[in-house]
Amino acid sequence: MIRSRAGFTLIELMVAMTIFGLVSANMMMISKSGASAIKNEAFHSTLEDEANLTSNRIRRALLSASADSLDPVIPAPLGSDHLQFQMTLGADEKGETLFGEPEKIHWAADPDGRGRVLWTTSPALSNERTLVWSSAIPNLANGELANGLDDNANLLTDETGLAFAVQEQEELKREVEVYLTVLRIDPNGKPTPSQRRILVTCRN
Amino acid sequence: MQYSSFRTLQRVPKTRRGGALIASLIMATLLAGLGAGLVQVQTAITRRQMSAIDQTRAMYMAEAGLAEAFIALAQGKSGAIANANQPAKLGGGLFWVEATEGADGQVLLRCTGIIERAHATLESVVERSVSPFGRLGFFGLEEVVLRKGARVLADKDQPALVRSNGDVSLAPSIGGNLIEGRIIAGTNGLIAMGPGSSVSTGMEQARRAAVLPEILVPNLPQGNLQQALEPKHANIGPGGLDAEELEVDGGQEVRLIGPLVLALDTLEVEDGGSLLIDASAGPVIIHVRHELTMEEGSVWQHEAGSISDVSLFFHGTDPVDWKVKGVFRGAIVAIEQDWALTGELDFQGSIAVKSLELLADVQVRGSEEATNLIAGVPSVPTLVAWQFSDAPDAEILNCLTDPKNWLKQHQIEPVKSSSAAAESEVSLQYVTKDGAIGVYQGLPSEFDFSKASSVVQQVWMDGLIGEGQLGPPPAPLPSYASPVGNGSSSKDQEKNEGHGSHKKDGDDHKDHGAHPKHKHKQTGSKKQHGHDGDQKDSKKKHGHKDHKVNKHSNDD
Repeated sequence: MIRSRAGFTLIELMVAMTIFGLVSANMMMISKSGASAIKNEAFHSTLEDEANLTSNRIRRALLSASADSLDPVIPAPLGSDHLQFQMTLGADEKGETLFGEPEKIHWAADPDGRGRVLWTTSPALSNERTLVWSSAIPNLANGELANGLDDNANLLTDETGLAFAVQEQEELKREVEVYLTVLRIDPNGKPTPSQRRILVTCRN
Repeated sequence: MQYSSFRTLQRVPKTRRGGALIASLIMATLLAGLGAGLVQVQTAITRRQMSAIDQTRAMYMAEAGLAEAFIALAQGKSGAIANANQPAKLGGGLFWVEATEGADGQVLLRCTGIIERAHATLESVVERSVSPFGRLGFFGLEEVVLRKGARVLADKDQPALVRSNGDVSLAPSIGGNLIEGRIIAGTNGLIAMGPGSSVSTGMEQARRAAVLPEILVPNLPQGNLQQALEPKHANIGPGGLDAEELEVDGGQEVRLIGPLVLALDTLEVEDGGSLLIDASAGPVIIHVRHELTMEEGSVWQHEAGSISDVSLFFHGTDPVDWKVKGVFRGAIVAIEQDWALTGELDFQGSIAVKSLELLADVQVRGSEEATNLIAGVPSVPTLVAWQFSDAPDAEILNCLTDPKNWLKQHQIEPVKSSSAAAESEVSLQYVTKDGAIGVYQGLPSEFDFSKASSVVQQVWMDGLIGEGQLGPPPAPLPSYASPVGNGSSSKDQEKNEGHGSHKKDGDDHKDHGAHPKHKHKQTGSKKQHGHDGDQKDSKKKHGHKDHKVNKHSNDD
């Protein structure tokens, strides 16, 4: 009588387990790197979104601002970490130009040692209101050191993570250069900056 | 012995069972899912970035639309460009502009720009046509001096304006001055007020100096006016003429009938002579190059026509003798001249000179019309305010598909932005090479501008939207003031209520019986550029034929 020879030999099992182990290890590496890539991608995407959103908000505010109301008017290489202005709202029924409340976009240090971009209406008045547009703005722009030199070659010296340089053109047209640096810690623990430079000509 | 699940004749040995295929399929499915997820994430990121870029592009598209509307306003049109039902195309996007009349000749322009599926809406308030001179009121480039008792009165609800790029002085003596309006001195100028003076609206320093454009003498056919003045009462115009001199003797009456453009080397009216101005049919524009003499006892009498239709431009540097009496309604521009207004002349309008002096007890009045409009001066719109706005409620913006697909589905062809203004046909009044007045109606691109030595008036009429294609009926076009040279801001608004676009036959250029529902007038010399008085002088030395100024003839 012939008995059935079901089962695996030891060598077959060992080979199968080895192959399985190799494949699993590769699979785990791939999935881990994939997950890490997704995390990094998500982080960078969020960082870029934050930088875009903040710079767009600043741009929209300054586009509608009255060129005459910009304060301070400091050109490069000095710049300023704040800018006060008034938006032109339109004309009333008598044809007189209407201006909005005074507004201010400024950098402010927060308790964590980093900085924030704040938008304030009616600054120093009883109806002052403040919104935080971004809370990851360093006290020095990316690549900049507090040494009195223009380290990052953007024609500004020792500028903060938010810097305004106002250039006066002919006939009181004013261009505002805005330098923005958003700095966050990535999933690997490394500080990662995102920079924006926008040039806005006040339309009013 | 077992059979396979499909009951084939082949027998499957027991030892050949296995789940490797299933396991590998599951793993492959998982990997494929993971990959698809990654692709989706990346696609979403890319789509978001493209959307952000498109949003910015849409904002610039809206700005481009506002610029088109601005140009249309400068040409005397309404500022409306295409509409939401049939937008204009520019580059890879679409836009349309809605124009709404505001107060005091201001226009609210709202432009919506579309790029792919992103859109942005911008608003701007524009002062339709601001005469660079008229808006200055009583202006002295270097200074304005009001002697004792001089008064500057307001016109209806429009306060008067006394302005200078330098100082403004009000008589420092008892019985001071009255200004029913405001004073604006130069950026570093002073306002000196004597006791008893009063200014009703306010005083301020200008934020910027007034910049005045150069006004050139138009290129007109040559002629001799003196022979035409033989009788005691003579009429000149309508038409256009360049002559050496116009000399009105004592006891002589010369009537200038608009539309009339005169370029003279010398204008002299002697004691007892009268210059009568009839601008009822069109503007009367006088350019004097060298010598202007209105002797004591001479008369300037405004008979008919609006204030914005009469202009006197003096281009010379020799002192002006201006002792005329009578009634002056219009604008004087003489930037190289010191000018004094006396109490003998009833003056209403605007004046822009080098240094202005209102002599003792003289009373002048500003003009609401002349603030914005002066015949013979190209006027340009001025931006008052610019801002972001909410998107209008338009079907094209609310559609679920790409707007371009939506247009295709509705079989709507967007129009070219260059021909998308609500008005396309024009009625022109111009001075021909012979000095007569010609009239043309039709598309401006089909008019031979070489036939005209000067365009006196330009009226925009309702036209087609785009190239021969009538889109869905747009919103009712607002009535609007004429841009230059015609005080129609209130009168024509009443006439022009209730309008809409209409279809016209393509060849119907000379339909003088047509009554366009919209009239957008613009006056000004068409060919003011590239010609100066020196060239004219050299031509005159070679003599010229006598010229009879004819009444207008239809010439196309």
